[in-house]
Amino acid sequence: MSARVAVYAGSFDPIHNGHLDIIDRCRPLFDKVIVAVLHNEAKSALFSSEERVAMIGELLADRPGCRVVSFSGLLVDFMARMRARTVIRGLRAVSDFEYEFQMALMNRNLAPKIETVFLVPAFDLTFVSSSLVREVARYGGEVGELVHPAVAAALRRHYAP
Amino acid sequence: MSLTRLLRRAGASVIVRGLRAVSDFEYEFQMALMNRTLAPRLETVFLVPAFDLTYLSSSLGREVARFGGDVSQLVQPAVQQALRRKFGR
Repeated sequence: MSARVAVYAGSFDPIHNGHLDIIDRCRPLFDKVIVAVLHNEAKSALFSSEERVAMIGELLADRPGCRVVSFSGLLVDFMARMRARTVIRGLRAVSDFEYEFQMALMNRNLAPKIETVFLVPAFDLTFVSSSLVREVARYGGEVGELVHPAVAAALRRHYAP
Repeated sequence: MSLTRLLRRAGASVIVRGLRAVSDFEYEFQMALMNRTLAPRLETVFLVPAFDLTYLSSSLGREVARFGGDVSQLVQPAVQQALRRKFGR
């Protein structure tokens, strides 16, 4: 049987504890977990895709079976290159649902054999999002409970006056 | 028997649920978090059905069959027969 490879795709700008929770939930379910960082030219990111990959790589070092790769273009094309058939997405709230549903059906339309699997993060992380973490960090709020210390340090450096 | 006990007995670690619409979501979310509280190692995994089946539910299928509607597009022939017998049509 071929290895069960999951691709957890997103912007991860920056990666937060909700993302790490989903990664850790994937690990017992799949042989390999690929964290796929979307490099989007059109969207201005806080951290470059290189910075995001480096940050995530550091956090995956003690998670065997996990690695990080950046990609641009269609997710389904990236999946084919990785020989992966499962897309992982986290579902936090009703507000995520409509967009995620649309994306799952569009990706199925493009690549019928690819399955999108949704996981629910730990309840006490369901309110955490990268955009909210950026917002809080921008105004000097405490994000130590929401992100890894290395990410908190990177945010501090970024927003240092 | 509770679902968590059944899963433990079967040696299963994953619960599969289908997500059809926003209206499913709140209840499913609550259930997933409750089952996690009862059995932290059990993971609930959600899949999306084929788009042209997302409106389908057992309750709606029963409702249609009860009033003699055609459910042949919605269920297997054996199920259709069982519904017909049940509702005497």
